[in-house]
Amino acid sequence: MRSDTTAGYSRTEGHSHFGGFYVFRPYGIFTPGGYYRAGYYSGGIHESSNIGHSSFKSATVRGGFGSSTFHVSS
Amino acid sequence: MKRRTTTPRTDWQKKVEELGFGFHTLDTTYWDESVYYEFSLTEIDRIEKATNDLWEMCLEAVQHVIDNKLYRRFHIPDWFIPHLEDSWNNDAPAIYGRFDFSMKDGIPKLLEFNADTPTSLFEASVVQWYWLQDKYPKNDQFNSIHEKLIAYWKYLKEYLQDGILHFSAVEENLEDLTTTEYMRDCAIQAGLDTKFINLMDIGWNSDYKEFRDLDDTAIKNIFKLYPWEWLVNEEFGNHIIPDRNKTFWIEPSWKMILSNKAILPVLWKLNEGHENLLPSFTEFDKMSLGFSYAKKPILSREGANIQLFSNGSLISETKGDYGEEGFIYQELCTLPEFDGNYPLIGSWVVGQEAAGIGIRETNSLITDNLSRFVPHLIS
Repeated sequence: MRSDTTAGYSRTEGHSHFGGFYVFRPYGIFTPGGYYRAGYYSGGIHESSNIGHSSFKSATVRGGFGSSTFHVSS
Repeated sequence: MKRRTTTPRTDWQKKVEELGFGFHTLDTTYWDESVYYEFSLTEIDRIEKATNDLWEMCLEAVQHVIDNKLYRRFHIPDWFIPHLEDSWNNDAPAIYGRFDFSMKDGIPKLLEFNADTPTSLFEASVVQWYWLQDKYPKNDQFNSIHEKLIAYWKYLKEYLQDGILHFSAVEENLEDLTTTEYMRDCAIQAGLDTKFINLMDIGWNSDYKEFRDLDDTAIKNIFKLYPWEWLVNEEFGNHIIPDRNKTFWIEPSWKMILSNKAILPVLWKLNEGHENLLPSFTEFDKMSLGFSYAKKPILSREGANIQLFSNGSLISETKGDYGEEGFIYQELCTLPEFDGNYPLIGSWVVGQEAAGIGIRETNSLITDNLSRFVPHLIS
C-alpha cells in the first residue's frame, strides 16, 4: 500500500498501480536540440484538439494570453 | 532525514521516458536517482501535520487579507479585486498547492507556498513511485498524490459548470505541458470531459463575450498552468470580468493571495510563534530579525532575486528580473546540508489534505532552476 500515514485509500478508486494511466504518455524523439513531441500513445488525446485550427472563428480573436516570457515553474 | 547514495537503474532513462517523463535531463541532470532521502515515520508525520495545519492557517489568512482589504500589499490591481473576492466567497473550485519546507532539527519550516502554479507534480506523484517499486518495493513513500487528485476531481465534478473542463499551458514548454497533461489525465480518470488548448490559442469572442477554444466551443471551466499575475496583465486579462460565462479558472483567482510571498508576514502575524512558521515582515525589522534573514521578492519564480544574510553578511544570492513589486524579510532558515547538497521538501496539499512530498536538491542554499529532483522513501 502506498503510504500517507493517515488516510486509508482504496484500490477500488479505479486504478491499480496506474493501470488506468491511459492518456498521458507522449511519444517523440530526442535530438541534440531537445525533445520533440510527436503525439500521444493513447487516442485519449486527440491531436487536433491540441494543435488544430478551426476554420470557423467568427468574432473570435486569439493570442491575448501567453505573452509572458518567463518560465512558469515555481 | 538521511541522504543515501544508490545505484541508478541501468535503463532508468528508458523507464522514466515510458512514463511520459521527457525532461529528466535538461542542461544538467534533473531527475537524479543516484541518491535518495530516507525519512523516519515520525518525520513524515510531522511534515503531514505541518501541511494540514498550514493549509488551515492559509485559509484563515486569505480571509484576513480580504476582510482588511490588504490588496495593495500584494500588488493586486483594483479592477480585479471583485473577481478575486467572488472566487473566494463562492468557493470556486481549487485543487492543489505545494508548501516548500526546510527541515530544521526535525521540524518543517515554511519557506513559501506555491499555491497557484506549482510544478514537479508528475515527478512527485508518478516517477518517484515507480522508482520505489523497482528499487525498494518493501518500503513506503509519503505519496498518495495520484489517488487524491483523482478523488478530488471526482468531488469537484458537480461544482463545475456544464460542459468541458479545458486544460491550458504554454505548450512549447515540455515541463509545463507534462504537468498540465498529467493533471488532465487525473481528471479524465475521474470521469470528466476534458480538452487541452495551448494558452495562446484561447480565443475571445467579442460578440458573445466569452472565451472559446479552437473548435469555437465556449470555455466555462479551465485549469491553467499560468500565473494569475501574468494573466491579468496580458491583453485578454481585461476580458475575464466581462466574460458572460463567469468561467471557473483553476486555480481560482483568490490563490493570488497565497501564491504571493506577502502572505508570509500575514501568516506570522496571525500565528506568531507557530513552530512551522518563520518570523516574516513586510519591512526590514532589525529588532525582530537581527542580522540573519532572507530578502525575497513578493512575486518571483525558481528562486530568483533572493538574498540571504547571515550575521549581516551576504552569504548567497540569485539574480533575476523580479523585485519590482517589493520584498518581504524572513528569518534565515538555511536548508540542511548533506555533503554540499541542500534538499528542499515540497509538500503537496490536494483538496484539503496533505498528499505527499517531492524533494529538490541543489548545491547552493537557494533552490533555483538548476535543482535536481531526488526520490525518497520511509525507513
